[in-house]
Amino acid sequence: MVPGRRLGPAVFISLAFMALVIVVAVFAPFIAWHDPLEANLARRLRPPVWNDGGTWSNPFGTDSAGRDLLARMIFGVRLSLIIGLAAVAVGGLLGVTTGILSGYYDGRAAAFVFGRLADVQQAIPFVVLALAVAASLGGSFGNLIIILGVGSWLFYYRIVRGEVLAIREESYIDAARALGQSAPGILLRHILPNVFPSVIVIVTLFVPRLIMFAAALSFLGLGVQPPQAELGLMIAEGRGLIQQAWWLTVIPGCVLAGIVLSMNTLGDWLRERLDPMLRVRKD
Amino acid sequence: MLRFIGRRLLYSVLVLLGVLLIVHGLLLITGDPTAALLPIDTSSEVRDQLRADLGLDDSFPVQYVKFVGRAFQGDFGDSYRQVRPAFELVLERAPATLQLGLVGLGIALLFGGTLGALSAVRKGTWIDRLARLVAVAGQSLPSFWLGLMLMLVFGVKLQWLPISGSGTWQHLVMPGIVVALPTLPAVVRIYRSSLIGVLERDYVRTARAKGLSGWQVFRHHVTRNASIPVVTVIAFEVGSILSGALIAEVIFAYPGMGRLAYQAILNRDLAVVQAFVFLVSIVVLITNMLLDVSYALLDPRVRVK
Repeated sequence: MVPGRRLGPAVFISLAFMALVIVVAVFAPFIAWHDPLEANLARRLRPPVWNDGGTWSNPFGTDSAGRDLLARMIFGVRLSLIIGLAAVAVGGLLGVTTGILSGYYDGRAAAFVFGRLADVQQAIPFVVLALAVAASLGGSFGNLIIILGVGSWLFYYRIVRGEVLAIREESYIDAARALGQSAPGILLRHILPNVFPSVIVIVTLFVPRLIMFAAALSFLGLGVQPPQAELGLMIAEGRGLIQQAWWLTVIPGCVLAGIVLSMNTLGDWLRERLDPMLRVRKD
Repeated sequence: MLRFIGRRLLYSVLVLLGVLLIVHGLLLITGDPTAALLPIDTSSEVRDQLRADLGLDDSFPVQYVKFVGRAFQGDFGDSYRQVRPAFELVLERAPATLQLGLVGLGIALLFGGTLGALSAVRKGTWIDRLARLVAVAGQSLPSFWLGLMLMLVFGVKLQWLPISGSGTWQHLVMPGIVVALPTLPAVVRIYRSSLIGVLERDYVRTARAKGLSGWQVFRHHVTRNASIPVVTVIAFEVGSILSGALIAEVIFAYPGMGRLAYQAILNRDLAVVQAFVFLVSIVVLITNMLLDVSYALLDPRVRVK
């Protein structure tokens, strides 16, 4: 069987799960029947519905402030998706722009500067740099997007630059130049569309990765700040109560892992479909 | 060869200068560093004094040059919390992190290597699928959450392993797994594909043809040749191992330099954070340099490039 031609069970489940997640994230305010931020001490630390003392009003229980876990997860998923997509947009925009410019204008000062900047950034592990910058800037939703986006530009940069170095030698670029096409025209019309498949591949790798990093930073207290609902932050808040209230750490973690796992599975599948060479090499 | 090493060393130093630019920039993007470093009710004279001490009255290039000069002597100023040289504090904790990192790497290589080898030899069977599942799962489980779950199951419920601190080998098991997790999938994948590549070589067929048993062929002709890409992966993963160590140390209250840096971040003790970032980058740069030099030793073509 050619992998990727038919939807395997893993791909199918991932697709279904992601569809559910996206619907939930988009329609969060209409789906959640509790306010994610509304505290109610009368119903604090209520267990999930399948445990003794659980109720259908709070299917996954409540946290130490009596906030509904399901509602918080619904809004948390929404926030995670927004952060992941926005950070990838920031990083992709920076990386693809610099990659195209430095590939096309190889040898000029700007290309050199971008290249050395990437070298420097690569010497500092991503999490370490993100933590240090988050510590200096202060943790917030916006800063998180900027940190993760700027932190990941070089991965797009390296791959795009490599491709552009090859593309600009192609005869159709010479032809475009001979026909009097301007440099911006060549970059946008002839080079950008040709690096697009690789960019999609990096995007499929980085959306789940950045969602996970964002949750890790929030977990460490340097991302989204309380009382906001975010999966990493919720796990951090449940950490101290892990013995009395396991659901506060276990359930949001499962949701986070499920999202990242589904995205990675779909990404794998998509990469195989996009890259026939990979399909051959795999077997 | 010496020229190659010299060039490579010079390049690393230049990158390190860039790293220091970022590290120094950390101080500047906090806005007014004295606001971060001093209590709110500090008088403006004290603030001005600190600003002068930090050299913030100088122009940026002057500040940077002074900062680089001090950094290369391991002087990042004192930790204002512990009133001791920041770099010394970080260095003191480095061996504990090194130990944890090595344990994590060992776990990743042992499990990843075994799984990669099994899936290469039994390509297309359930073991192969299992290995692939482990690889994807390893990539997808948030390591901070995995740490908490291990703690809940093996620390709290079963009480097999201590949930915090250091000292015995038991203290290293759960943090080690957390450190190993992000690296494991890469090891499985690379070792599998590299083994498959080697197994198809003519010399493997020859070895088999001359009557060696499957295990002998594997051990003497295949594993060594297939291991080189794994070394590359390890060098690439040094950064992620150090990042993983930071998270594991925070969760399991393991007294390494990552936890120190994290506490410094929460206390806004910037000197310690700067010293930490500096040291981590040096480790990453040295590993990459050793990798390149070992390539050059093995393959003369690299030296020319």
